[in-house]
Amino acid sequence: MIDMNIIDFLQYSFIQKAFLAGSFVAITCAALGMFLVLRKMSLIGDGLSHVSFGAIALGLFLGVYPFYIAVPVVMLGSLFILKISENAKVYGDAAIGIVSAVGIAGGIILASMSKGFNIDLFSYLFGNILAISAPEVILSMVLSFLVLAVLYFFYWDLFSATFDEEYARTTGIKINLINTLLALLTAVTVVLSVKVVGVMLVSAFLVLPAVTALQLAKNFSTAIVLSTISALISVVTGITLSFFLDLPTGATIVIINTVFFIAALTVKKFI
Amino acid sequence: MAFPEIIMIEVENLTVRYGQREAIKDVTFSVKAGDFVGLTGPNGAGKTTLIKALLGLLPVARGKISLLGKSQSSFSDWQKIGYLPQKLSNQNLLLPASVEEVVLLGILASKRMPRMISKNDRKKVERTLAELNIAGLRNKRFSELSGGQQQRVLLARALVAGPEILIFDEPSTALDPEARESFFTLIQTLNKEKGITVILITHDTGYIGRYANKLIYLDTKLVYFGDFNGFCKSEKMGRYFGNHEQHIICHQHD
Repeated sequence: MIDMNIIDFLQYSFIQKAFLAGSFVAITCAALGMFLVLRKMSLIGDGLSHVSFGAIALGLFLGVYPFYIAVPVVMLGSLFILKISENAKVYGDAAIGIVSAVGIAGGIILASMSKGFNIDLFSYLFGNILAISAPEVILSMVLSFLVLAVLYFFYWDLFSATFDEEYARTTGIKINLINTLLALLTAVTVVLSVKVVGVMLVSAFLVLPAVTALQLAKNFSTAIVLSTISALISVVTGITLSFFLDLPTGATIVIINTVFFIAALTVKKFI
Repeated sequence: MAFPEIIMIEVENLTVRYGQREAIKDVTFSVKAGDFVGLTGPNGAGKTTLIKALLGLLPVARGKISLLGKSQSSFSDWQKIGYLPQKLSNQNLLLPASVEEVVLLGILASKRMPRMISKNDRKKVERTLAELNIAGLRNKRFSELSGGQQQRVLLARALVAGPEILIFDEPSTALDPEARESFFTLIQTLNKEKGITVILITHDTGYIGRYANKLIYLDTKLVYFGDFNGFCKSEKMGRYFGNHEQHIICHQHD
């Protein structure tokens, strides 16, 4: 356990960067995760995080900043999942399974071919937000703004498609466009989240705040607000606790999210 | 209320296919302003298929559909057509949608991208809920309502944008006889007092005759289209159903 007062802790630049990037990514995951959970697309986050593992390995292998490779490759992966589940009559979860396995397999092969970057690659498996750089913070904020702006402008289309897809079509909403949008936004968000919680825990970041909020909310807009609040508190508390208790940050955030979920389940029984 | 002779829906030689199978074949009819059309027929006759084709949810294999004088392929005034489905296509009990949020979805057809909801839209929802005597449900969770209450909320969603045509797919399935009577009377009031043109799918050919002024009997092909009295007097229908069955259907109408 580290002995330090909270004022000193907050003055560390790497802590400030972690809070900033973590908060943006948490809000983005929580808002997007709500639509993914309710549209029964939760697993897409898990599958795409595995694709991001392969893409990051490719970036390291080519000597390019991994995010620049991961964003387009994971976006392609998300479109591939969507298209083969729409056209090739493969169930969505099976399509995710295929893409996920290919991502991991590609990453492992690239890692074995170049022994030099294994340590870097495996740091992405579990994330390390305390090591986030200033350009990465800016990139996280820009991409988060982008995802949140798209969610804001398509909020009612997304809600309508989530509530009743067929009716949504009768009001002129293009369901294919909505699904494509969700898949692409998820791809960007997954890549963003890898730095915070790592490949292994990304889907928890997308799913847990949403399912926590769904236990308590009486309407959809409240559910989105509760989801983002719970994600934000989890990130801030997780970063703080992990620093003082010397624990891995991503895993600590996920455990705090899980505690909130169990608390929400318990509170639900009494309201 | 007297209505001018405006054609609201025109269907010409419509054929819709599922793969190779023709679900409806060469169907032709037209619906005038103020009509209350009962759409009936046996299971698998193509009733829901016809409605879905009208709403653009299924592709047309052959023939033409015109809505409010415009070809359906170029029709964009979807807020003028309210739709109440038999059941939600993906009812999600986890989704905490409030009644107000559900009814607001009916307004989206009148919006252009990006679709944003204004205070005025929320007032429209308030007025529509009050008209249907369900103002007290506004903040309730939709999934926690009874079948009858959900039906009224979905009717509010269909009405909130001020449609000229209302299309119902078997709206009485989840209702007990008393609730069905009350719901059909409400639809009749909307038809007579607000002049909304109605198309309503039902299995109960006799019962709908109490409310509808026109009847479509579909069995993949159009078997009958005309007024209910004509249906009862039709020798063709007598041969189709048998005179005894035709008499029973028409007796329920009285």
